[in-house]
Amino acid sequence: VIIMDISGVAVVDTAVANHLIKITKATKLMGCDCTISGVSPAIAQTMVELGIEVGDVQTTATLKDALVDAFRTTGAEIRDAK
Amino acid sequence: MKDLGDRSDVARIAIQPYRGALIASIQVDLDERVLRQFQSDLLECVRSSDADVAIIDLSGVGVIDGEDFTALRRVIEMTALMGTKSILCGMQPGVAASLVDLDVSLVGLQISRSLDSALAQVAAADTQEEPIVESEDPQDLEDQEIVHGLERDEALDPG
Repeated sequence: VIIMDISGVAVVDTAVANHLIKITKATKLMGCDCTISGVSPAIAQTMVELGIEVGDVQTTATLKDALVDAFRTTGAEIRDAK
Repeated sequence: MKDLGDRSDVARIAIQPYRGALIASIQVDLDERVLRQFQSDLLECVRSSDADVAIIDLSGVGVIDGEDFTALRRVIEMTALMGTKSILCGMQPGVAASLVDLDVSLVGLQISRSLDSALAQVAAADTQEEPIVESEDPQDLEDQEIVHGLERDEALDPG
């Protein structure tokens, strides 16, 4: 599983967004589950308004959500150390 | 409120968190400005809450044109990009008929008959998902489902 966190990115343009999608698709071809996390309202608006085809790339608003998904796919779980 | 700027006269759509879902109840007629305000309000709510689902209740919408529906669809795509899926519910017969007449694409949209059924759908999805994270013991799963069932019944019962 790869998580690409873009929460520090304020704005994206078409080229950047397409590149991000390409990276995730390439990693998928190599057998990884790739999630883009930290998609802010501004980035979501830009990507939809620019008509960027995200396809089945998984995206989440926070790194926390992405980690929960990742743990679910890997079958790991978090518990208190005793 | 300062941050509203020149859009302070725009009707705003109430968005309330409820049991891990965001409920946006649209009780005004839609136009471009209302939708633009709704878009930023909803996306901001999605960011600040950790809701998995946003339920958009269209029960107060009497008329909708193709353009407004496309705008609404784009808002739904944006929430999906932020990892929150949206369910449309409470569509009036006239609205449904005009959308079919307009031949707009409904592919990929999740639509429920009423707010009740949308909430039931969310609760059902929760009970399906939780066992994987919470526990692998079948006895525990059963208990969880019972608890969820009770909560839902109480929530739907107005009395």
